[in-house]
Amino acid sequence: MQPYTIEMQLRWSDEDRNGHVNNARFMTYSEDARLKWLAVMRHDLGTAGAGNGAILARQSCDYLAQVHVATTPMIAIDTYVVRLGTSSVALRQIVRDLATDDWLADMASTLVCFDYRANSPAPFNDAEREWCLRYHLSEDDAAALHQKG
Amino acid sequence: MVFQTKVPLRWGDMDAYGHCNNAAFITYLEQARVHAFHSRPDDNAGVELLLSGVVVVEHTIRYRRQVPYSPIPLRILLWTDQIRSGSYTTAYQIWNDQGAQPELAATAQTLLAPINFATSRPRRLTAGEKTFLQGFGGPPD
Repeated sequence: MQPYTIEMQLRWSDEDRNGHVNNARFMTYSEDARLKWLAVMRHDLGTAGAGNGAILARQSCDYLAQVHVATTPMIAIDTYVVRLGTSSVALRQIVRDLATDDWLADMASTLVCFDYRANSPAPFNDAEREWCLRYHLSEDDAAALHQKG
Repeated sequence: MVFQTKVPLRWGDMDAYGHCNNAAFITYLEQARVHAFHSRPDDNAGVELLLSGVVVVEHTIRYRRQVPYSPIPLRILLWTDQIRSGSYTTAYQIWNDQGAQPELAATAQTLLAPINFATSRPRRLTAGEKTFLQGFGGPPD
């Protein structure tokens, strides 16, 4: 159960009129983590998504706490693989306060391996599938993660 | 003393041209100013200035090089200039450290003014605020 973890600096402008980080910003945090994860795949294998790319098919977010930039200047995002299909991969992402480890959001996204020229999904190749499973979070692992969080 | 800080890029800062969009640079400047305001824990004047109200009056940005997305953060040098009774200017150099040699990607100036948010009226800088701002003297060598 080894996540891919990035650290991210929040921006003053991530807060909205309510003086907390706006809900939509979490999509950007997830995006940065996802794309850096894919960049590692590309670095390790020379391809990321059969040499084509990946496209976002689904995104959800459980917001667990208000976030204030003054008290949470840095976050960490842990990315896990929860399900691997022929041409899709379902990710779970835990957004944490870097200093306190408190959970701020629990996010899920589904990426589809995508051929941008053909405008259609494409299967992951074997190397990519094997690589994705390095970050696999089993149901038992997920239960343990819940207890910790 | 010139203030230096790091501002990470985000993938979403890029536009369809594959470089960080010109408008994103305004946010980089803002983030550098916020870091500067918070950089002197023994002097509250900066944080108080930020809380009591300071608004941007004018931005000038000279874009010199394209900046593609990279995990390497921008390095921003910031200093103050023309500290007057009701306004001050912040000047910047935005450095891109992605390549073998650092590259000056942009230079910029922001004219800022303290205001009273309760009355929406401009106000004067206090002596403490002026001293705080003078602490970020420049330009860099």
